[in-house]
Amino acid sequence: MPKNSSLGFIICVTGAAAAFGLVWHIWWMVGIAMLATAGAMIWHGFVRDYERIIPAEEVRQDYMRWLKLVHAAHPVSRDHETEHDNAGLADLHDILEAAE
Amino acid sequence: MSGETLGTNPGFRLRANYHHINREDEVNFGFWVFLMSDAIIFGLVFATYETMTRATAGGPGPNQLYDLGSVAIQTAALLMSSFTYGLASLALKYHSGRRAVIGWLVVTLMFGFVFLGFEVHDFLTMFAKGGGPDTSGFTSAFFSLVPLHGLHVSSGCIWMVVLIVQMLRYGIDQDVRLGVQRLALFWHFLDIVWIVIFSLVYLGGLA
Repeated sequence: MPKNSSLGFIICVTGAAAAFGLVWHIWWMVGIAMLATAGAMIWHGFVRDYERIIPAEEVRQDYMRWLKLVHAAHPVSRDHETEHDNAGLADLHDILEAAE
Repeated sequence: MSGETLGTNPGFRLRANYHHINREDEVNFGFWVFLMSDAIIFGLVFATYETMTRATAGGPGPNQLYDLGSVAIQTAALLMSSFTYGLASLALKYHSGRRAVIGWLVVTLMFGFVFLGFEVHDFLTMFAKGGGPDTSGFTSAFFSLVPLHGLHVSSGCIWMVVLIVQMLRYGIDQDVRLGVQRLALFWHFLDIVWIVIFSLVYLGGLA
């Protein structure tokens, strides 16, 4: 999968600065921001190590940890869903009973 | 239908069968999407220009402002640059070596500079004749359209320089190869847009 990259955030900031400068005629800000935008893109083009592989073992462990949490969580009914005990697992008992 | 029987067109391969999508398909497809969105922008500005051709507000019109001789040189330079870029692509395809690819890209770059030089000269002449973008709806529309194309060509030139530097640093690796492929799409696209500008703006304006 792609590695984390700061390019999106940098262009978000420099692009906003360039647009702000254009609207209010702050030409020095436009110049710096546009140079920074182009510079960031060019710099990004030189990056060669942009992918990382998540080992299968890490995926398995994460999944197992998640399953453990699910098993440990105890179901919460609608009446108690706003309480601290709610770990995201619904108690379907009432709902199924109502459906019948 | 298995993944192998699908065509090599990336548009047809973007489906759940992720095993058969390689980076080349992915980035080229993405770039095509960008190019088509860019074509829409050019289409909008072309439409604006066409509605504004008579709106000269008493200022100078196409007959006073356009210099067809200079535009002919620009057209020739851009068409030649597309041809020499094609030669760079062929040098890449047939593994003619880094020097051949860089050589043709430098030639392409020179034609790009000739184009930009004549274009900027034309703009300055138009300013001198009182046909700047704030003169009329017509000049506003002209300066929205033609310099937009020029800005694209300038970006393409910068991109070409960056690719040459990458080639000198990394050799022709996969990323450089994909970059040259995508810049080829961009460069030929700009050539097509220029043909439309030449026909509609310059020939159409003087007809």
